[in-house]
Amino acid sequence: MALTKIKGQNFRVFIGGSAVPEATNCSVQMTGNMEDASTKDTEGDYTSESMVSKSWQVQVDSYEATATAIKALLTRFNGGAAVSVGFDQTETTAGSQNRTAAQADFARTGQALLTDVSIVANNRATITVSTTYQGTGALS
Amino acid sequence: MSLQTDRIFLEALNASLRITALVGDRIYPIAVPGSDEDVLNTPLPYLVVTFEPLTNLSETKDNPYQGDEDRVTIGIEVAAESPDDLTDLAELVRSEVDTFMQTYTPAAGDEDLTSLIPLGYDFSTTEKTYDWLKPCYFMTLRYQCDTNV
Repeated sequence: MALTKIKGQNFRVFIGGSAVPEATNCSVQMTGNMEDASTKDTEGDYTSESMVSKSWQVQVDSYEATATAIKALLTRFNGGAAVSVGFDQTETTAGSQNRTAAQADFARTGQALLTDVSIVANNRATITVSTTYQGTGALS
Repeated sequence: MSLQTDRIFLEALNASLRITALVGDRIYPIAVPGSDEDVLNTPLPYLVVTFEPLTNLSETKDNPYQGDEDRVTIGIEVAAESPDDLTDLAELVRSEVDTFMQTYTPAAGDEDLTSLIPLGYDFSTTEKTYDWLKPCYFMTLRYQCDTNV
């Protein structure tokens, strides 16, 4: 039996518990920060690595370019406080706009800082708002 | 509303006294009505407003089936008896449509068509050419419009 693959519209980023509205793309990046622990005792040509820390970040693009939404982003950016950021699968049901969290097994949430805000406003094109949240603490 | 974009262009042309002074009521949606013979017998000059293919834009995860903006291309075919008449009428149409879109306010008692005004458009034209069957000179002014669904 073929496994059901999750479609992009049903993998969404949640900020403060709510799916980012009018999102077009999102990505989640988890990185293991490595240290070369090689010593003179290490034999052969290859380094001996160890993971000394882990970090994560979430990036999301959306067309949510209302005055209220932009002001809220700027307030969050200036405030510098961590917010709840996570990702989850969403349910496709009529009227839900694919925003209802399905509480999937892989869903994760953590605290993160808004580190990048990019507002791109090309002439006659829909304004795109891109944000990056850098995790602080575990994504669990 | 995007599927009604041609309506606002017809309104723009019919609202211009300078245009109707030249073409009278010969401003047609989609095509000159009637048979081939009717088309051949239609007096010059005349205008035909066409609706070219529509593309939906701005799809988001909120609605993977349809975005909230469309791109619609409206054509205004200009047919005239001489090259000079063709150029003059095309220039007039270009100018009058632009003015209409930027200054439109519904007259008292008329239906308000503000929602049909495009968010913006790119303007282009086809080449000027000659139809030896009718015969006439003609070209099409093209407006690639961004509109709300």
